[in-house]
Amino acid sequence: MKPFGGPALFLDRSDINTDEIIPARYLTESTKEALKPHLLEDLDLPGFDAAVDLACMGVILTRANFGCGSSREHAPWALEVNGINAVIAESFARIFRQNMANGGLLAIELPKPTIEEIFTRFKGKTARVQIDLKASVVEITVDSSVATFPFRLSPFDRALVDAGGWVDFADARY
Amino acid sequence: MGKTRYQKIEESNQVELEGGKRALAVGLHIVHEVTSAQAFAALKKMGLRVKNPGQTFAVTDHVVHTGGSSAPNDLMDEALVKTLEDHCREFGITLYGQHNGKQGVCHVVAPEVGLTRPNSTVFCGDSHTSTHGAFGAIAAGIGTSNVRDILATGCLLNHVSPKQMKIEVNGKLAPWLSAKDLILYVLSRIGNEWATGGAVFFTGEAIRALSMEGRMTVCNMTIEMGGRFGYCDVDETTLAWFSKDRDFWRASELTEARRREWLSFNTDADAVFDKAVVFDASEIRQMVSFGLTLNEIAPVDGRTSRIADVVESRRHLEVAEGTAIDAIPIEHAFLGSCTNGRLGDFQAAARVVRLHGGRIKVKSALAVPGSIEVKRACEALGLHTILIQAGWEWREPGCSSCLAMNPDKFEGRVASSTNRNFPGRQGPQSRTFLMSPESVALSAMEGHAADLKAFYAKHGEPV
Repeated sequence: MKPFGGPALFLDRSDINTDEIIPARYLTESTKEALKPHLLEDLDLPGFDAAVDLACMGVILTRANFGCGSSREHAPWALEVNGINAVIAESFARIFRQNMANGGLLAIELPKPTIEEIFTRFKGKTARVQIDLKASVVEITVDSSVATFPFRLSPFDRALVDAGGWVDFADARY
Repeated sequence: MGKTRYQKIEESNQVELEGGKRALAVGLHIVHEVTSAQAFAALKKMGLRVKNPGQTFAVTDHVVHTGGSSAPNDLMDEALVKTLEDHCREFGITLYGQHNGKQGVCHVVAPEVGLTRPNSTVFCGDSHTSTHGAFGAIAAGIGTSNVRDILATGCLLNHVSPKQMKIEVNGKLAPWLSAKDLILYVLSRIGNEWATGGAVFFTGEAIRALSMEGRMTVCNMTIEMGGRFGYCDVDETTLAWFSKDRDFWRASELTEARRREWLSFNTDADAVFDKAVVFDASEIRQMVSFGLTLNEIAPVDGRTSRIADVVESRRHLEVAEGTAIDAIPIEHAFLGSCTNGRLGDFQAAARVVRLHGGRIKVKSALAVPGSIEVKRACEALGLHTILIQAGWEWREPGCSSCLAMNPDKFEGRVASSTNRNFPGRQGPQSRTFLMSPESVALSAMEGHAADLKAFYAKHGEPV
């Protein structure tokens, strides 16, 4: 199983939708790779510049209802080709969450107060996230201090993660 | 313990696959050009064929150029359409596309041709698939990997039973209001996450009083409250839809046995819901969205509240907190989409335009029928003439500026009969104000949203 984690990108807004994650005008692309330069291109967030801030990021930390809107699987594909392997949010839109699971990306929900605490303590700092699936904890490291936050995955979600995503899970079993 | 219509349909469509694995059988799988290409490619890579071509129906809609033959060509759009055409030919799938002059918005066309049926399951790689729940089907949007699964097996393999939810709207909707006002009002009360992942049963006197078109408008926007499925029970209004011949339905198929079977799946009085909310239709007003999410909706005589996260690049389109909704200048108008692109929507809009008698005050006004059938029906009634004479553009069917992944893009503030007001949704420099088709029509004629009740009263039209 691949490790989940990496440098943290803080997107401090609720309701970041799939049009913002990958604009509709790029849905005509036939390869996942072609989506790479356009991830979050239309996200207008104070202080955020997709062209600069996405480089080498591994994990997105955000607020509620991440991925609301369309069913385009291009949205998690655009995350994947940019090296984003996990998103930690207060909540996810249903289809987007399924689409993340299809490709083996990890969607972790944490309670609102925990998300609030994470943003208060770490936003604006250079933070690194490691997700320990065995212990079910998110570890956030800033400088040399580590903070841990427990999370829960359903057994089915966990099985998908172990298999590398729904597509691989289905190919092996159906 | 009673069951919901959703639960009865789910139960009757459970299948056991080899090795005892359970899955949900798919009655109708709709595919369109944008989210199917990679699914077909994956299928072919595995050396598989489409399992149930007869239950698969393809439409071109998202990238279609609605300007007709004079529209500029886009090679990537053309490639997507051609890829779908090739796949449909290869696997024997019926395609309603430009090649046979039948293209239209998938959620308008499939019900119109009689493919969407009560008690059935409908899936499509499009988030507004919940529209089909209006017919007492269970219907949901899926991603491309799951489109692949259904192409290969005829089943949704990773189905997980959703939470059961109920939205009840009692009482009567005022005559100048529409289904769009109803659903925008519900959203204004419960917000864009209330139903996340759930199966939402729409019921109550005000829902039952809606036409099938109105019910489609309501179920269509289930996704905007986070819901996966949205549906209504079957009644005489539903049955009337099937009492006429359609491309894939004969009126004679509506036998007494079938009526009884369809009705027997209606939600039991003692069905249990995980979540429920009740509204009174007498509280519903003419609603307009003013923000960038479906949480920001107000009555036409109301004012804007604070809008989260105003951004610099679109600040010129912003409206200040406390602005009267009917004082926001509107620069463009759009009629169409899977939410409000049907005959009744254009009838309502054209009526407002005819009563008004003037010309549009906006820079541009686009009327895009949801299907060829809708277009023909409008033209037979002369609705297109009313619109064109008032300065509207009358277009060919397609998704058009609902998501603007085609040449139909706006710059500025748009009164729109669509479903999403996300930043830049109708063009990079656009800002969307969602409302009913008749509100869009009046906004186009006045240059701002306006009170329909007062408008109808002024024109002495009984409503």
